[in-house]
Amino acid sequence: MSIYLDNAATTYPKPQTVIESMANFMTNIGATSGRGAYEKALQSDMLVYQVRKRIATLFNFNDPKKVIFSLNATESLNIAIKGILKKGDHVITSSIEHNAVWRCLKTLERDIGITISVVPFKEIGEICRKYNIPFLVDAAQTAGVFPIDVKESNISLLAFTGHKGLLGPMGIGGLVINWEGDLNPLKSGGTGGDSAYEYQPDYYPNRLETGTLNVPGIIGLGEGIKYIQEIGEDKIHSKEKLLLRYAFNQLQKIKDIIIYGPKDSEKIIGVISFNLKGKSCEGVAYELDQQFGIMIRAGLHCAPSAHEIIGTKKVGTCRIGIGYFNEKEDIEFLVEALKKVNKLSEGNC
Amino acid sequence: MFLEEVRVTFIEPCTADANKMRFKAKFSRDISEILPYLNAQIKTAQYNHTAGNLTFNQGIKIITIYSDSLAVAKIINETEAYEMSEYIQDLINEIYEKKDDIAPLFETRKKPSAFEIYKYLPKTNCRKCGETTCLAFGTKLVLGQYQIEKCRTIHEVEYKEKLDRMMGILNC
Repeated sequence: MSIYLDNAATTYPKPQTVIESMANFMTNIGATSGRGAYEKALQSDMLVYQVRKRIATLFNFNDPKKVIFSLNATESLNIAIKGILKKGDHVITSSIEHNAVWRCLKTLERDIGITISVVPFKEIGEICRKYNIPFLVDAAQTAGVFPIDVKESNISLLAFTGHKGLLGPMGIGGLVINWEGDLNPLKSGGTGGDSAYEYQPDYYPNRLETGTLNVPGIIGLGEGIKYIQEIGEDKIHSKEKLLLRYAFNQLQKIKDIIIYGPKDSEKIIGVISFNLKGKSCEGVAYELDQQFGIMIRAGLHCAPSAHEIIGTKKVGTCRIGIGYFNEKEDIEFLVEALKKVNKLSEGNC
Repeated sequence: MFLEEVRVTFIEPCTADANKMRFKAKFSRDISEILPYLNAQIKTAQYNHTAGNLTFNQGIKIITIYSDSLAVAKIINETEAYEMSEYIQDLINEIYEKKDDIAPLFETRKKPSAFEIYKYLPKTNCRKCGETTCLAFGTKLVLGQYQIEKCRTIHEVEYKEKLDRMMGILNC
Protein backbone atom coordinates (compact mmCIF):
# COMPACT_ATOMS: atom_id res chain seq x y z
CA MET A 1 0.00 0.00 0.00
CA SER A 2 1.23 3.49 -0.73
CA ILE A 3 -0.15 6.93 -0.10
CA TYR A 4 0.90 9.86 -2.23
CA LEU A 5 0.90 13.19 -0.39
CA ASP A 6 3.29 15.20 -2.53
CA ASN A 7 0.73 16.74 -4.88
CA ALA A 8 2.24 20.21 -4.56
CA ALA A 9 5.36 18.84 -6.30
CA THR A 10 3.36 17.03 -8.96
CA THR A 11 -0.11 15.55 -8.94
CA TYR A 12 -0.44 11.78 -8.94
CA PRO A 13 -2.24 9.73 -10.11
CA LYS A 14 -3.35 11.33 -13.38
CA PRO A 15 -6.81 10.78 -14.87
CA GLN A 16 -6.79 7.72 -17.13
CA THR A 17 -8.02 9.88 -20.04
CA VAL A 18 -4.77 11.89 -19.86
CA ILE A 19 -2.68 8.77 -20.32
CA GLU A 20 -4.95 7.31 -23.00
CA SER A 21 -5.05 10.51 -25.06
CA MET A 22 -1.25 10.70 -25.14
CA ALA A 23 -0.86 7.03 -26.05
CA ASN A 24 -3.53 7.40 -28.73
CA PHE A 25 -1.76 10.39 -30.28
CA MET A 26 1.61 8.64 -30.29
CA THR A 27 0.14 5.43 -31.66
CA ASN A 28 -2.28 6.74 -34.26
CA ILE A 29 -1.26 10.27 -35.27
CA GLY A 30 2.29 10.98 -34.20
CA ALA A 31 2.93 13.85 -36.63
CA THR A 32 4.49 17.14 -35.60
CA SER A 33 2.42 20.29 -35.41
CA GLY A 34 3.05 23.26 -37.72
CA ARG A 35 5.50 21.34 -39.90
CA GLY A 36 3.56 19.21 -42.36
CA ALA A 37 1.21 19.53 -45.32
CA TYR A 38 -0.40 16.11 -44.86
CA GLU A 39 -3.57 15.24 -43.04
CA LYS A 40 -2.02 13.83 -39.86
CA ALA A 41 0.14 16.93 -39.38
CA LEU A 42 -2.97 19.06 -39.77
CA GLN A 43 -4.76 16.85 -37.24
CA SER A 44 -1.86 17.48 -34.88
CA ASP A 45 -2.20 21.25 -35.48
CA MET A 46 -5.90 21.07 -34.77
CA LEU A 47 -5.39 19.20 -31.49
CA VAL A 48 -2.81 21.77 -30.36
CA TYR A 49 -5.19 24.60 -31.25
CA GLN A 50 -8.02 22.98 -29.29
CA VAL A 51 -5.84 22.85 -26.17
CA ARG A 52 -4.81 26.51 -26.61
CA LYS A 53 -8.49 27.36 -26.72
CA ARG A 54 -9.30 25.21 -23.71
CA ILE A 55 -6.58 26.95 -21.68
CA ALA A 56 -7.84 30.37 -22.80
CA THR A 57 -11.37 29.43 -21.68
CA LEU A 58 -10.11 28.12 -18.33
CA PHE A 59 -8.50 31.46 -17.52
CA ASN A 60 -11.27 33.59 -19.10
CA PHE A 61 -9.02 34.82 -21.88
CA ASN A 62 -10.16 35.36 -25.46
CA ASP A 63 -7.09 35.02 -27.68
CA PRO A 64 -5.79 31.43 -28.12
CA LYS A 65 -2.88 32.76 -30.25
CA LYS A 66 -1.45 34.32 -27.11
CA VAL A 67 -1.48 31.09 -25.12
CA ILE A 68 2.14 29.98 -25.43
CA PHE A 69 3.38 26.47 -24.67
CA SER A 70 6.58 25.95 -22.69
CA LEU A 71 8.27 23.24 -20.64
CA ASN A 72 6.84 24.30 -17.29
CA ALA A 73 6.04 27.33 -15.13
CA THR A 74 9.75 27.99 -14.60
CA GLU A 75 10.37 28.37 -18.32
CA SER A 76 7.27 30.55 -18.68
CA LEU A 77 8.46 32.80 -15.87
CA ASN A 78 11.89 33.05 -17.51
CA ILE A 79 10.28 33.92 -20.88
CA ALA A 80 8.23 36.66 -19.24
CA ILE A 81 10.84 38.11 -16.86
CA LYS A 82 13.83 37.97 -19.23
CA GLY A 83 11.71 38.96 -22.22
CA ILE A 84 10.47 42.16 -20.63
CA LEU A 85 13.09 43.49 -18.24
CA LYS A 86 15.84 45.83 -19.43
CA LYS A 87 18.72 47.55 -17.71
CA GLY A 88 17.51 50.06 -15.13
CA ASP A 89 14.02 48.57 -14.78
CA HIS A 90 12.40 48.30 -11.36
CA VAL A 91 10.54 45.16 -10.29
CA ILE A 92 8.07 44.76 -7.46
CA THR A 93 7.80 41.23 -6.12
CA SER A 94 6.44 39.40 -3.08
CA SER A 95 8.41 37.99 -0.16
CA ILE A 96 7.36 34.40 -0.75
CA GLU A 97 8.55 33.74 -4.28
CA HIS A 98 9.69 30.36 -5.57
CA ASN A 99 13.22 30.21 -6.96
CA ALA A 100 11.74 30.20 -10.47
CA VAL A 101 11.00 33.89 -9.90
CA TRP A 102 13.58 34.81 -7.29
CA ARG A 103 16.67 33.40 -9.03
CA CYS A 104 15.55 34.98 -12.33
CA LEU A 105 15.32 38.39 -10.68
CA LYS A 106 18.57 38.07 -8.70
CA THR A 107 20.43 36.99 -11.84
CA LEU A 108 19.16 40.01 -13.79
CA GLU A 109 19.96 42.27 -10.84
CA ARG A 110 23.56 41.03 -10.93
CA ASP A 111 23.99 40.78 -14.72
CA ILE A 112 22.14 43.71 -16.25
CA GLY A 113 21.29 45.94 -13.29
CA ILE A 114 17.62 45.94 -12.38
CA THR A 115 16.29 46.93 -8.97
CA ILE A 116 13.99 44.71 -6.89
CA SER A 117 11.52 45.85 -4.23
CA VAL A 118 9.76 43.35 -1.99
CA VAL A 119 6.23 44.35 -1.02
CA PRO A 120 3.29 42.52 0.59
CA PHE A 121 1.75 40.10 -1.87
CA LYS A 122 -1.77 41.58 -1.78
CA GLU A 123 -0.61 45.05 -2.82
CA ILE A 124 1.14 44.00 -6.04
CA GLY A 125 -1.99 43.59 -8.15
CA GLU A 126 -3.39 46.89 -6.89
CA ILE A 127 -0.15 48.78 -7.61
CA CYS A 128 0.03 47.31 -11.12
CA ARG A 129 -3.58 48.20 -11.83
CA LYS A 130 -3.16 51.76 -10.53
CA TYR A 131 0.03 52.54 -12.48
CA ASN A 132 -0.58 50.33 -15.53
CA ILE A 133 2.46 48.14 -14.87
CA PRO A 134 2.65 44.66 -16.49
CA PHE A 135 1.52 42.17 -13.84
CA LEU A 136 3.06 38.67 -13.97
CA VAL A 137 1.43 35.94 -11.88
CA ASP A 138 3.02 32.58 -11.08
CA ALA A 139 0.08 30.16 -11.07
CA ALA A 140 2.17 26.99 -10.73
CA GLN A 141 0.32 25.94 -7.56
CA THR A 142 -3.06 27.51 -8.22
CA ALA A 143 -4.02 26.75 -11.83
CA GLY A 144 -6.64 24.01 -11.78
CA VAL A 145 -7.40 24.15 -8.05
CA PHE A 146 -8.47 27.76 -7.78
CA PRO A 147 -10.45 29.68 -10.42
CA ILE A 148 -8.24 32.27 -12.17
CA ASP A 149 -9.70 35.06 -14.30
CA VAL A 150 -7.01 37.04 -16.14
CA LYS A 151 -9.40 39.85 -17.03
CA GLU A 152 -11.01 40.33 -13.64
CA SER A 153 -7.68 40.10 -11.82
CA ASN A 154 -5.96 42.40 -14.34
CA ILE A 155 -3.26 39.79 -15.00
CA SER A 156 -0.94 40.72 -17.89
CA LEU A 157 1.07 37.49 -17.93
CA LEU A 158 0.05 34.20 -16.35
CA ALA A 159 2.67 31.45 -16.02
CA PHE A 160 1.41 27.93 -15.35
CA THR A 161 2.61 24.35 -15.40
CA GLY A 162 0.69 21.36 -16.68
CA HIS A 163 1.70 18.65 -14.23
CA LYS A 164 0.32 20.02 -10.96
CA GLY A 165 -3.27 21.16 -10.48
CA LEU A 166 -4.04 20.86 -14.19
CA LEU A 167 -3.47 17.08 -13.92
CA GLY A 168 -1.40 16.84 -17.12
CA PRO A 169 2.00 15.24 -17.69
CA MET A 170 5.39 16.69 -16.75
CA GLY A 171 7.28 18.73 -19.34
CA ILE A 172 4.42 20.94 -20.48
CA GLY A 173 3.46 24.38 -19.23
CA GLY A 174 2.56 27.72 -20.67
CA LEU A 175 2.24 31.45 -20.57
CA VAL A 176 -0.94 33.46 -21.19
CA ILE A 177 -0.09 36.88 -22.62
CA ASN A 178 -2.84 39.41 -21.92
CA TRP A 179 -0.49 42.29 -22.68
CA GLU A 180 0.33 44.38 -25.74
CA GLY A 181 3.93 45.32 -24.86
CA ASP A 182 7.07 43.88 -26.43
CA LEU A 183 8.28 40.50 -25.20
CA ASN A 184 11.74 39.69 -26.50
CA PRO A 185 11.99 35.94 -27.31
CA LEU A 186 14.21 33.89 -24.99
CA LYS A 187 14.99 31.40 -27.78
CA SER A 188 15.44 31.56 -31.54
CA GLY A 189 14.86 28.79 -34.05
CA GLY A 190 12.44 27.18 -36.46
CA THR A 191 8.75 27.98 -36.32
CA GLY A 192 7.50 25.94 -39.28
CA GLY A 193 6.31 28.72 -41.58
CA ASP A 194 8.00 31.89 -42.83
CA SER A 195 11.37 30.11 -42.87
CA ALA A 196 13.13 32.52 -45.24
CA TYR A 197 12.88 35.33 -42.65
CA GLU A 198 16.09 35.43 -40.59
CA TYR A 199 14.64 36.39 -37.21
CA GLN A 200 11.86 35.24 -34.94
CA PRO A 201 8.46 36.26 -36.33
CA ASP A 202 6.64 39.03 -34.47
CA TYR A 203 3.29 37.21 -34.33
CA TYR A 204 2.04 34.84 -31.65
CA PRO A 205 2.34 32.03 -30.69
CA ASN A 206 5.30 31.50 -33.08
CA ARG A 207 7.28 34.42 -31.64
CA LEU A 208 7.82 32.58 -28.38
CA GLU A 209 7.41 28.94 -29.46
CA THR A 210 10.37 27.61 -31.34
CA GLY A 211 11.44 24.05 -32.12
CA THR A 212 9.12 21.05 -32.20
CA LEU A 213 6.27 21.29 -29.72
CA ASN A 214 5.61 18.64 -27.08
CA VAL A 215 2.39 17.59 -28.79
CA PRO A 216 1.73 14.47 -26.65
CA GLY A 217 2.25 16.65 -23.56
CA ILE A 218 -0.08 19.33 -24.90
CA ILE A 219 -2.77 16.73 -25.63
CA GLY A 220 -2.37 15.19 -22.16
CA LEU A 221 -2.64 18.64 -20.62
CA GLY A 222 -5.80 19.29 -22.64
CA GLU A 223 -7.36 16.10 -21.26
CA GLY A 224 -6.31 17.05 -17.72
CA ILE A 225 -8.08 20.40 -18.07
CA LYS A 226 -11.10 18.73 -19.64
CA TYR A 227 -11.31 16.43 -16.61
CA ILE A 228 -11.18 19.46 -14.29
CA GLN A 229 -13.80 21.34 -16.30
CA GLU A 230 -16.13 18.35 -16.24
CA ILE A 231 -15.87 18.04 -12.47
CA GLY A 232 -15.71 21.80 -11.86
CA GLU A 233 -12.90 23.78 -10.28
CA ASP A 234 -15.18 24.71 -7.38
CA LYS A 235 -15.86 21.08 -6.57
CA ILE A 236 -12.14 20.24 -6.72
CA HIS A 237 -11.29 23.22 -4.54
CA SER A 238 -14.01 22.30 -1.99
CA LYS A 239 -12.85 18.70 -1.69
CA GLU A 240 -9.24 19.74 -1.20
CA LYS A 241 -10.30 22.38 1.33
CA LEU A 242 -12.30 19.83 3.33
CA LEU A 243 -9.37 17.41 3.37
CA LEU A 244 -7.03 20.21 4.34
CA ARG A 245 -9.25 21.29 7.24
CA TYR A 246 -9.48 17.70 8.40
CA ALA A 247 -5.70 17.31 8.16
CA PHE A 248 -5.14 20.50 10.20
CA ASN A 249 -7.44 19.27 12.94
CA GLN A 250 -5.91 15.82 13.08
CA LEU A 251 -2.27 16.88 12.81
CA GLN A 252 -2.70 19.34 15.67
CA LYS A 253 -3.52 16.40 17.96
CA ILE A 254 -0.02 14.95 17.48
CA LYS A 255 2.30 15.56 20.39
CA ASP A 256 5.28 17.83 19.69
CA ILE A 257 4.17 18.83 16.20
CA ILE A 258 4.90 22.35 14.93
CA ILE A 259 2.61 23.46 12.08
CA TYR A 260 3.74 26.47 10.04
CA GLY A 261 1.85 29.10 8.09
CA PRO A 262 -1.84 30.07 8.26
CA LYS A 263 -4.05 27.48 9.97
CA ASP A 264 -7.06 28.58 7.98
CA SER A 265 -7.86 26.30 5.05
CA GLU A 266 -9.47 29.28 3.26
CA LYS A 267 -6.11 31.00 3.04
CA ILE A 268 -3.96 28.26 1.56
CA ILE A 269 -4.02 25.87 -1.35
CA GLY A 270 -3.50 22.21 -0.54
CA VAL A 271 -0.26 22.27 1.49
CA ILE A 272 0.64 21.96 5.16
CA SER A 273 4.20 22.40 6.41
CA PHE A 274 5.21 20.94 9.76
CA ASN A 275 8.03 19.49 11.82
CA LEU A 276 8.16 17.04 14.69
CA LYS A 277 10.16 18.53 17.55
CA GLY A 278 13.65 17.07 17.81
CA LYS A 279 13.47 15.28 14.47
CA SER A 280 14.83 16.28 11.07
CA CYS A 281 12.29 16.69 8.30
CA GLU A 282 14.31 14.42 6.01
CA GLY A 283 14.35 11.72 8.71
CA VAL A 284 10.58 11.93 9.20
CA ALA A 285 9.96 11.72 5.44
CA TYR A 286 12.29 8.74 5.20
CA GLU A 287 10.52 6.83 7.99
CA LEU A 288 7.09 7.61 6.56
CA ASP A 289 8.17 6.26 3.19
CA GLN A 290 10.10 3.20 4.31
CA GLN A 291 7.83 2.04 7.12
CA PHE A 292 4.41 3.20 5.99
CA GLY A 293 4.59 3.82 2.24
CA ILE A 294 3.62 7.49 2.67
CA MET A 295 5.26 9.93 0.28
CA ILE A 296 5.74 13.52 1.48
CA ARG A 297 8.23 16.30 0.67
CA ALA A 298 11.05 17.45 2.99
CA GLY A 299 13.40 20.43 2.79
CA LEU A 300 13.07 24.01 1.54
CA HIS A 301 10.84 23.16 -1.47
CA CYS A 302 12.71 25.62 -3.75
CA ALA A 303 11.31 28.56 -1.75
CA PRO A 304 14.02 29.71 0.68
CA SER A 305 12.45 33.15 1.20
CA ALA A 306 9.22 31.57 2.45
CA HIS A 307 11.25 29.51 4.93
CA GLU A 308 13.08 32.65 6.03
CA ILE A 309 9.71 34.13 7.02
CA ILE A 310 8.57 31.10 9.02
CA GLY A 311 12.04 30.64 10.54
CA THR A 312 12.86 27.26 9.03
CA LYS A 313 15.49 28.23 6.44
CA LYS A 314 18.16 26.16 8.18
CA VAL A 315 16.14 23.08 9.03
CA GLY A 316 13.44 22.94 6.35
CA THR A 317 10.02 21.36 6.94
CA CYS A 318 7.95 18.33 6.12
CA ARG A 319 5.27 19.26 3.61
CA ILE A 320 2.15 17.39 2.63
CA GLY A 321 0.49 18.33 -0.64
CA ILE A 322 -3.14 17.26 -0.84
CA GLY A 323 -4.66 16.47 -4.21
CA TYR A 324 -8.10 15.75 -5.63
CA PHE A 325 -7.46 12.01 -5.55
CA ASN A 326 -6.59 11.92 -1.84
CA GLU A 327 -9.20 10.70 0.65
CA LYS A 328 -9.83 11.18 4.36
CA GLU A 329 -8.35 7.73 5.05
CA ASP A 330 -5.00 8.89 3.66
CA ILE A 331 -4.87 11.63 6.29
CA GLU A 332 -5.93 9.23 9.06
CA PHE A 333 -3.16 6.85 8.02
CA LEU A 334 -0.61 9.70 7.95
CA VAL A 335 -1.56 10.86 11.44
CA GLU A 336 -1.25 7.35 12.87
CA ALA A 337 2.10 6.91 11.15
CA LEU A 338 3.39 10.27 12.46
CA LYS A 339 2.41 9.26 16.00
CA LYS A 340 4.51 6.13 15.59
CA VAL A 341 7.43 8.03 14.05
CA ASN A 342 7.23 10.43 17.00
CA LYS A 343 7.92 7.56 19.36
CA LEU A 344 11.10 6.52 17.55
CA SER A 345 14.29 7.47 19.32
CA GLU A 346 16.08 10.52 17.91
CA GLY A 347 18.89 8.49 16.42
CA ASN A 348 16.39 6.74 14.17
CA CYS A 349 15.00 9.96 12.82
CA MET B 1 -25.99 21.57 -35.13
CA PHE B 2 -26.34 22.43 -38.83
CA LEU B 3 -22.61 22.37 -39.63
CA GLU B 4 -20.80 19.90 -37.39
CA GLU B 5 -17.25 20.30 -38.62
CA VAL B 6 -14.94 22.54 -40.64
CA ARG B 7 -11.81 20.47 -41.19
CA VAL B 8 -8.59 22.16 -42.31
CA THR B 9 -7.14 20.13 -45.19
CA PHE B 10 -4.42 22.32 -46.66
CA ILE B 11 -2.12 25.13 -45.48
CA GLU B 12 0.58 26.82 -47.56
CA PRO B 13 2.41 30.16 -47.85
CA CYS B 14 0.51 32.80 -49.88
CA THR B 15 1.89 33.19 -53.39
CA ALA B 16 1.45 36.97 -53.26
CA ASP B 17 2.91 37.50 -49.80
CA ALA B 18 5.46 35.02 -48.39
CA ASN B 19 4.90 36.32 -44.83
CA LYS B 20 1.28 35.22 -44.94
CA MET B 21 -0.40 31.86 -45.32
CA ARG B 22 -3.60 30.57 -46.84
CA PHE B 23 -5.63 27.51 -46.07
CA LYS B 24 -8.49 25.38 -47.31
CA ALA B 25 -11.01 23.53 -45.19
CA LYS B 26 -13.83 21.09 -45.92
CA PHE B 27 -17.35 21.32 -44.53
CA SER B 28 -18.95 18.19 -43.09
CA ARG B 29 -22.08 18.94 -45.19
CA ASP B 30 -23.29 21.00 -48.14
CA ILE B 31 -24.19 24.53 -47.07
CA SER B 32 -25.38 25.99 -50.43
CA GLU B 33 -28.82 26.78 -48.99
CA ILE B 34 -27.22 29.17 -46.47
CA LEU B 35 -25.13 31.17 -48.96
CA PRO B 36 -27.93 33.63 -49.95
CA TYR B 37 -28.60 34.29 -46.25
CA LEU B 38 -24.89 34.91 -45.64
CA ASN B 39 -24.94 37.25 -48.62
CA ALA B 40 -27.81 39.18 -47.08
CA GLN B 41 -26.09 39.50 -43.73
CA ILE B 42 -22.50 40.26 -44.81
CA LYS B 43 -22.89 43.67 -46.41
CA THR B 44 -19.48 43.68 -48.05
CA ALA B 45 -19.79 40.17 -49.51
CA GLN B 46 -19.62 39.38 -53.23
CA TYR B 47 -21.90 36.45 -53.99
CA ASN B 48 -22.12 34.46 -57.19
CA HIS B 49 -25.29 32.36 -57.04
CA THR B 50 -24.58 30.42 -60.25
CA ALA B 51 -21.04 29.48 -59.26
CA GLY B 52 -22.11 28.98 -55.62
CA ASN B 53 -19.46 31.02 -53.84
CA LEU B 54 -19.31 34.04 -51.58
CA THR B 55 -16.24 36.18 -50.89
CA PHE B 56 -15.64 38.85 -48.30
CA ASN B 57 -12.75 40.52 -46.48
CA GLN B 58 -12.01 40.64 -42.81
CA GLY B 59 -9.12 43.03 -42.23
CA ILE B 60 -6.54 41.89 -44.77
CA LYS B 61 -7.91 38.34 -44.85
CA ILE B 62 -9.83 37.24 -47.95
CA ILE B 63 -12.48 34.64 -47.15
CA THR B 64 -14.28 32.56 -49.77
CA ILE B 65 -17.08 30.22 -48.79
CA TYR B 66 -18.15 27.49 -51.26
CA SER B 67 -20.99 25.02 -50.88
CA ASP B 68 -18.69 22.34 -49.48
CA SER B 69 -15.53 24.16 -48.45
CA LEU B 70 -13.74 27.27 -47.30
CA ALA B 71 -10.62 29.09 -48.54
CA VAL B 72 -8.93 31.87 -46.59
CA ALA B 73 -5.91 33.89 -47.75
CA LYS B 74 -3.55 36.18 -45.82
CA ILE B 75 -3.64 34.56 -42.41
CA ILE B 76 -0.51 34.75 -40.26
CA ASN B 77 -0.11 31.21 -38.96
CA GLU B 78 -1.70 27.79 -38.33
CA THR B 79 -3.36 28.99 -35.14
CA GLU B 80 -5.22 31.62 -37.10
CA ALA B 81 -6.32 28.95 -39.61
CA TYR B 82 -8.07 27.02 -36.86
CA GLU B 83 -9.43 30.17 -35.31
CA MET B 84 -10.91 31.22 -38.67
CA SER B 85 -12.38 27.75 -39.30
CA GLU B 86 -14.20 27.95 -36.00
CA TYR B 87 -15.33 31.48 -36.70
CA ILE B 88 -16.82 30.48 -40.06
CA GLN B 89 -18.45 27.39 -38.54
CA ASP B 90 -20.06 29.55 -35.84
CA LEU B 91 -21.12 32.15 -38.42
CA ILE B 92 -22.80 29.57 -40.66
CA ASN B 93 -24.56 27.92 -37.73
CA GLU B 94 -25.71 31.29 -36.41
CA ILE B 95 -27.11 32.32 -39.80
CA TYR B 96 -28.83 28.94 -40.13
CA GLU B 97 -30.52 29.47 -36.76
CA LYS B 98 -31.72 32.93 -37.76
CA LYS B 99 -32.55 32.21 -41.39
CA ASP B 100 -36.33 32.49 -40.95
CA ASP B 101 -35.85 36.13 -39.97
CA ILE B 102 -33.53 36.96 -42.87
CA ALA B 103 -34.60 37.75 -46.42
CA PRO B 104 -32.18 35.80 -48.66
CA LEU B 105 -30.30 37.80 -51.29
CA PHE B 106 -29.56 35.90 -54.49
CA GLU B 107 -28.11 38.76 -56.54
CA THR B 108 -24.52 39.87 -56.73
CA ARG B 109 -24.21 43.10 -54.81
CA LYS B 110 -23.02 46.05 -56.88
CA LYS B 111 -19.69 47.08 -55.48
CA PRO B 112 -19.19 50.85 -55.11
CA SER B 113 -16.09 52.17 -56.87
CA ALA B 114 -13.27 53.81 -54.92
CA PHE B 115 -14.10 57.09 -56.64
CA GLU B 116 -17.75 56.87 -55.57
CA ILE B 117 -16.61 56.32 -51.99
CA TYR B 118 -14.09 59.15 -52.26
CA LYS B 119 -16.87 61.60 -53.12
CA TYR B 120 -18.25 61.23 -49.59
CA LEU B 121 -14.97 61.15 -47.66
CA PRO B 122 -13.90 64.44 -45.97
CA LYS B 123 -11.04 64.94 -48.53
CA THR B 124 -8.88 66.57 -45.83
CA ASN B 125 -6.04 64.04 -46.19
CA CYS B 126 -5.70 64.28 -42.38
CA ARG B 127 -3.78 60.97 -42.21
CA LYS B 128 -5.44 60.00 -38.92
CA CYS B 129 -6.34 56.64 -40.50
CA GLY B 130 -2.69 55.91 -41.29
CA GLU B 131 -3.05 56.52 -45.03
CA THR B 132 -1.52 59.56 -46.76
CA THR B 133 -4.67 60.45 -48.72
CA CYS B 134 -8.43 60.01 -48.48
CA LEU B 135 -8.35 58.31 -51.90
CA ALA B 136 -5.94 55.66 -50.61
CA PHE B 137 -8.25 55.12 -47.61
CA GLY B 138 -11.28 54.90 -49.90
CA THR B 139 -9.59 52.26 -52.07
CA LYS B 140 -8.94 50.06 -49.04
CA LEU B 141 -12.43 50.73 -47.67
CA VAL B 142 -13.93 49.34 -50.88
CA LEU B 143 -11.72 46.26 -50.61
CA GLY B 144 -12.96 45.67 -47.06
CA GLN B 145 -9.50 46.19 -45.59
CA TYR B 146 -10.78 49.10 -43.49
CA GLN B 147 -14.04 49.85 -41.75
CA ILE B 148 -15.53 53.36 -41.97
CA GLU B 149 -15.01 53.71 -38.18
CA LYS B 150 -11.28 54.13 -38.90
CA CYS B 151 -11.97 57.56 -40.49
CA ARG B 152 -12.19 59.77 -37.42
CA THR B 153 -12.81 62.97 -39.36
CA ILE B 154 -16.01 61.79 -41.05
CA HIS B 155 -17.47 61.11 -37.63
CA GLU B 156 -17.18 64.81 -36.70
CA VAL B 157 -20.51 66.70 -36.60
CA GLU B 158 -19.86 68.80 -39.71
CA TYR B 159 -19.55 65.65 -41.86
CA LYS B 160 -22.74 64.01 -40.59
CA GLU B 161 -24.48 64.23 -43.94
CA LYS B 162 -21.51 62.66 -45.75
CA LEU B 163 -21.33 59.92 -43.14
CA ASP B 164 -25.01 59.08 -43.64
CA ARG B 165 -24.57 58.87 -47.41
CA MET B 166 -21.46 56.77 -46.95
CA MET B 167 -23.28 54.36 -44.62
CA GLY B 168 -25.96 54.02 -47.27
CA ILE B 169 -23.43 53.21 -49.99
CA LEU B 170 -21.65 50.71 -47.78
CA ASN B 171 -24.94 49.14 -46.71
CA CYS B 172 -23.96 49.54 -43.06
